[in-house]
Amino acid sequence: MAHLHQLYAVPFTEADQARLVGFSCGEEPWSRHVGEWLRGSDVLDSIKRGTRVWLFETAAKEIVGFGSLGTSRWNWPPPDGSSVTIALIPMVGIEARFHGQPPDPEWRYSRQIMGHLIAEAEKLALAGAEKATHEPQWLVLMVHRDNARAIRFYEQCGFELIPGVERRNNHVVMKLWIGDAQTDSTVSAS
Amino acid sequence: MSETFLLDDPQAVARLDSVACILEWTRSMSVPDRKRFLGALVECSDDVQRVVVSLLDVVKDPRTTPVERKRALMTIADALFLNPCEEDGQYGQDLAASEAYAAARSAPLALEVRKMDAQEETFAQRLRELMAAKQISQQELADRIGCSQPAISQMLRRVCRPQKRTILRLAEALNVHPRELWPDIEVADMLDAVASFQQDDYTMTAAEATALADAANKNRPKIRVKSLPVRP
Repeated sequence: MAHLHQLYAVPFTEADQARLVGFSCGEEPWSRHVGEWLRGSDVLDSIKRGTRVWLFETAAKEIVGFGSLGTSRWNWPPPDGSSVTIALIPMVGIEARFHGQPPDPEWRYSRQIMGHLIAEAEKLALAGAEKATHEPQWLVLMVHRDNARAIRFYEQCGFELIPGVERRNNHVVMKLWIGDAQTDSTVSAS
Repeated sequence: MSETFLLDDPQAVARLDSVACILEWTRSMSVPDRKRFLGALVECSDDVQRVVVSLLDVVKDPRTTPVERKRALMTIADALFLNPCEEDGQYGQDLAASEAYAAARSAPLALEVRKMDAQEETFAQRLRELMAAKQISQQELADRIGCSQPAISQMLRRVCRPQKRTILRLAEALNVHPRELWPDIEVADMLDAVASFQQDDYTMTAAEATALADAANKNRPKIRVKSLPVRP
């Protein structure tokens, strides 16, 4: 029998937006737009360019959060100018009332969700390893520089801040190596 | 217009097609109407632009009935503030009716409309509070931002929806940050940041290139990496 706090991944479709009225990941300056991304047109635009989006639900079908995973082509700076495919998490969020839940870190929703996104990114890396390019090898995400709680959590997951980088609206970028993924059942102990 | 103003952004260039369609469609309008429509479309908020584009999809859909098409076009005119606000209340009713129609067309659109409603209510309330706190009359505020006193009155009574440009001017005139009047200006900026993060053809900075080329520092996951069971 599945654990009480086991989350399930449900592929997101436009029809799910009707279920998401009131979905909020918090009222901090760096949280308010997260729910809007999922409830508005941004998520649909992102899906159009290849992003996969999941809702994460409890066994009782309560929506705990959502996550997304896509790829992007980034150019090396001149004079090189060639490009590299990277995996990226455009947006991830947990409904405010599930923050820090459940207390058991083994089943903490945030870890289950990030574990899922990294696992899916590693599948992309594995598929890429069979091609000549061996890409993507990095998974990146963007976080507001003042969102200390999120930065600490991503660090606990293994992400590292890329020093000296600031994207639009005071966002910093974090990276994780996914290039050594081996099989579907690869588990790296904490 | 400087050279750097026109960025050679492939994502933006790909959208030229739809821009061309809108330009082509407006050719049948009179010159002043066309200028007014295109001007309003450029100046309105991203939210309103999205609603207008969804409604244009309805307009051009061959399954749309003539009555539906007319109502969609009326909604566009309302959203862009192109209809006259002459008689008290009348405009507001039309706006309410056309928004209800727009909301019935699609769930995401309904969400957009609800979101705008909430923002508009907050806006009117905050504008009222700021004017009271700073003891500024409707006429004084109108003079400061270069519009008529009835226009201010309509914004306060939520008869007419302000455009982003107007919000920015009001904020300047009241000496407050625009987000004090329209909180979601910040949300819109954040969503823009997310959209730009996903764009292809981004050229890395030296710091990013150094970090991603660093073979000695391949930080691996530190948590259990496992796909969750999928439920359809």
